[in-house]
Amino acid sequence: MAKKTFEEALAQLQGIVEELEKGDLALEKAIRKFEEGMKLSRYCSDCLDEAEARLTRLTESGEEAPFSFETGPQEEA
Amino acid sequence: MGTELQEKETRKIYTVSELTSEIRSCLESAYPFIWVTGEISNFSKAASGHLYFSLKDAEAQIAAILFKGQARQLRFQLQSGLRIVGLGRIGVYPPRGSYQLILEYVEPMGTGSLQLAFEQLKLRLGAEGLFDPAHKRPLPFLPHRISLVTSPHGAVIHDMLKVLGRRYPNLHLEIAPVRVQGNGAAEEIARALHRIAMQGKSDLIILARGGGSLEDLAAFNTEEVARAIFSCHIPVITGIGHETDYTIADFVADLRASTPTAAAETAVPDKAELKATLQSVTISLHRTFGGSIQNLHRDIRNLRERLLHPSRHLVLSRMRLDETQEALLRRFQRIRTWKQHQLAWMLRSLSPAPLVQKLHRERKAHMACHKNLCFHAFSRLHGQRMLLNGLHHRLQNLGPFAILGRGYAVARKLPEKTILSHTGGLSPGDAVEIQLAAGFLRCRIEEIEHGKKNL
Repeated sequence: MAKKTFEEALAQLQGIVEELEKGDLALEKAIRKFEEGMKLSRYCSDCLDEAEARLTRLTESGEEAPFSFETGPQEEA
Repeated sequence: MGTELQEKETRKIYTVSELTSEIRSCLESAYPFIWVTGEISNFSKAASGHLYFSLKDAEAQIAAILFKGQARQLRFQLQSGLRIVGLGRIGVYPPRGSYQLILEYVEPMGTGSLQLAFEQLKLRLGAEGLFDPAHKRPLPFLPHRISLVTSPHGAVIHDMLKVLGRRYPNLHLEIAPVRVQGNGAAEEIARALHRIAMQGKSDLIILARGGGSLEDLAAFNTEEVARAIFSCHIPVITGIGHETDYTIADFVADLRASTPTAAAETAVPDKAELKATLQSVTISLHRTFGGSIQNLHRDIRNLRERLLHPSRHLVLSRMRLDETQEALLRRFQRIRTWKQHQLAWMLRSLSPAPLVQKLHRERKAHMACHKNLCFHAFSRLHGQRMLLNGLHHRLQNLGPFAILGRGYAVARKLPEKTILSHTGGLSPGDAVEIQLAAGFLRCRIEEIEHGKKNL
């Protein structure tokens, strides 16, 4: 199965949470849903962690100017 | 009878008028032009001016008439007893059955033969055309040489020389001395004319003689002189006798002057008069053309002023060239200055300062964007994380094991590990697993109490 996107996983997690909040699930099924939700939650958290790490990496390297420009001596003349 | 009738038929019977008419035409054609001499008798002058008389001699007489027109030309008076020679024709007057002599010309007897000869010659030469105006030669306006054919003695030549000298001093004159009367005079005159014509040195001849009787002038009434004048190709002026004298020479001449001095007057213009005329003409010429000549002078002056010497032209051209060069240089320098200004201005606009400023602005904008981007990225990440955390929290709260903390437990049948919610299917001795908040119990069923659902 193809890897879920973060948004799909989040939507699924939301669906599971709402399903559990109704409280009419059999324990057995609730437990399975719970376990699935926990897995989704971890997955989403991992996604976010990874995204944050990449973003941080990008912005850290982005602190520098994207290109440099050599200015002439009469620049301020 | 027959002969009588024949006689009757051949007999010509005239009426008086017929007869008179025949007589008239007979007489008038037989005597149209006759000279008659006789003595005048029964002379009378009619109120009309016509003269009536008879001409008679010892044996006969004839009626004669001189009409008013012819009578007026007579230079003498007619009177009875006067012997005359007359020129006339016979005329018949039918009402009276008379005939008469109609005279054209009358002269007294005695001078008559000479006059007759004159008239005859005049008629003959006139009929030949010697007097014809078509043959008259024009006189030179100013003759360069005049031949005077006249007697070298007497007042005539003297008077003529005086007149000629007065009118035109220093005129070239030739005097051809001739006898002007007596035997051989006509020959001398004719010879002189021929000689002058042959030599051709003169362009005018004056033939002159003083006054005298008809006999004195005889030489000028000769055919010889008349023909000499006619054949002479040089124009001839005659001045013979007095004003009333007419000679054959006068008729043939190209111009007849009344007297020798009149001939001299006519021959040459008056020098003083000529000079005066010339002077006035000259003055008027000057006056007329002076203005235009002055204009021409002015034109020439103007043209001369405009006509420059080539070297001066060269100098002027060079000066103009210099001027133009300077103007060119000035113009060029102006353009150069302008271009320099333009260049400086363009250089200034080429300077990187505005670019650098722009760059700074762009970089600032970029930084803002970058920050914005980061902010949005992080905030979105954060939002997602919050959402996720919320969900996670809710999930954890919903977890079936959360209530285990409050003393609940989950029982599962072993080994299937199916969660037990009722006693059905169970028997004592079966193994079950009880999950607590912390830890698991594995137990054996000792007793089963079936019942309804609790709670």
